[in-house]
Amino acid sequence: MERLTHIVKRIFFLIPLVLVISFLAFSLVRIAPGGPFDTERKPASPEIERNLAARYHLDQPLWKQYLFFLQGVSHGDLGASLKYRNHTVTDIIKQGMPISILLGVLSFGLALGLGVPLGFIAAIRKGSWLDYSATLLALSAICVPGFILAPLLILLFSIHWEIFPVALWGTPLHAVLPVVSLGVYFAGRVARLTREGMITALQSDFIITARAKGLSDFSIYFKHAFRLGILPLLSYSGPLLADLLTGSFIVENIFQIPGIGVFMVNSSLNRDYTMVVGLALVYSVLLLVLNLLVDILYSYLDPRIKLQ
Amino acid sequence: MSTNRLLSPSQLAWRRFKKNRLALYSACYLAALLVFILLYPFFSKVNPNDLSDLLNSPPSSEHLFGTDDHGRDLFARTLFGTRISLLVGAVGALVSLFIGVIWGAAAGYLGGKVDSVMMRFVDVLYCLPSIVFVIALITTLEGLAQDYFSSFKLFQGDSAYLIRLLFLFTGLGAISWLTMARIVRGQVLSLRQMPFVEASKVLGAGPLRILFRHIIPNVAGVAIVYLALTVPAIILNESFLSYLGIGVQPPQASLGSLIAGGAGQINPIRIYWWSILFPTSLLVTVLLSLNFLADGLRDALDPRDAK
Repeated sequence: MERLTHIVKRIFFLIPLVLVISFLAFSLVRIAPGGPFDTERKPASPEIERNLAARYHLDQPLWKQYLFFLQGVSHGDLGASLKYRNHTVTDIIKQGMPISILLGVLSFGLALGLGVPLGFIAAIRKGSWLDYSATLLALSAICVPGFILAPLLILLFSIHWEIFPVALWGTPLHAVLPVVSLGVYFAGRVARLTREGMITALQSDFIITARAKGLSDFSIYFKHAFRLGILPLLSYSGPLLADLLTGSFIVENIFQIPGIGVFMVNSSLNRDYTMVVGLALVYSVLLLVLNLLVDILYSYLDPRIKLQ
Repeated sequence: MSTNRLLSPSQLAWRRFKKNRLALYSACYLAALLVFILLYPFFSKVNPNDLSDLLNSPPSSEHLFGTDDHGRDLFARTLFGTRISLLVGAVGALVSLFIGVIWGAAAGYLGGKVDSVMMRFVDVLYCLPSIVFVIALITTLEGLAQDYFSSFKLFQGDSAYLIRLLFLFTGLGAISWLTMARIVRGQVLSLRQMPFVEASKVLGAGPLRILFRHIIPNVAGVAIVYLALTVPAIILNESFLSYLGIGVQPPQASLGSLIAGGAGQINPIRIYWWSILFPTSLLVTVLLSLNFLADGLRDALDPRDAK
């Protein structure tokens, strides 16, 4: 019961936080020099520019623009994209988000599926050659940027061996290379976090007690240490999932996948104000909600920690 | 045991660090690389920005790493790019260290309302997509500087590159200090309760003296470890920005922009492998050794392991 009131409190606390974040993103893109219509046919006559600005309330003071924005958000309207003016931001997000989410969830699965066993093995064989090779593998994964890995995979698996399609999105085969290019980096981070968490867990007093009681290695590793050892990974998975679910510019760009990761970067470069704010809003809400879920899970896994 | 003398904490740390072979070799590799790229310009007459008619030629005795699509010597450019990448990584990390330590220490030491306001601000910044933040920051700074410096005729030629680089440092540092601030705050919160802080308070030391003389030196170990992790992260971020075309501006090069340039030349018919392979292997080895170094530093400086 106490836990439930905490959760409800936290959810209410998210609302002002989201307002502050959206206002910050809102003013940040507008303060940055340049405007959304800079690349339009030039020289546009001053009247046209004035009309365009008026159409999107850009001639109003910042706080008024923000109120207009809030008014729209209250009934689910993030406004029209200033770059793709036939589309609303909500439409673009609705179209791209499912693809980015699918790509993200698959990559998350790959990151956990590769990273957790790797880190686990490294931790329980700490100091052995297994530990060193696992650590080397995990570090190499972190050190190869996606924009190197993705073209390399395409060259090998699509052009040389012709196993997977070069690009685009559709069949399950299309997903393999993007998921690998996106997931491998995070698998490396996951492996390192798991190793660290497990090593710390294995050094704690209750493990010594468990050993003294004569419990088997299996039961010590999986039942007692693992639960505590994945806590660092758990707190990382909130931001990790938020990043993955909102798409990756590099992977979506290289494989020509119509997700929202490409929009995240391009809209900031194009000063597509409404798009930037819409995407920042999606990202921050996702991150805050995921972090809340992580904290709730945390308090279940580690009973010493109380939900604050 | 024959060696019975007491060792200072830093001697102990150095001992532990030496035991980690990988970290030691990484440090040697980085030092050698650093010396080489710093001394190279004095011994070579090849200018990394000189154009020639020899377009996309494979590695030869004259051009060790081949040439790029403008006929520029890739060996000189790769070394030059490594220098810029390392510079951006180091200075960017220092910027993040500076902001992070001061912010975190102030929040942790002052405590109460100030602490919660300062840390909520960090939470808010965490929730902004960092790419949006860094693009807005870099372009804003640049716009401001262009307005400001145009009257001094400073925003031209070489100084324009320098100023541009400066914004890259600031922008990348400004998105990387958040975790540092959280870590430092956590440390300061526990240090604040320590008897030696109470003691110096009793002796009449002011808050600034306590903070800079007693608390921050104690945070140094943790801060250094995280700093070492920040350098490769910033180099990676810079390479991403350069890949997008908003990082280092041509004709200057960083490892990221060299790789992006090489990757742009890929087509199914032929690949100028040298234009990707060499910058990539430098980037990957530099990142790897920086990470090994950070690992070694952590094992050496982590007080939990100190026996």
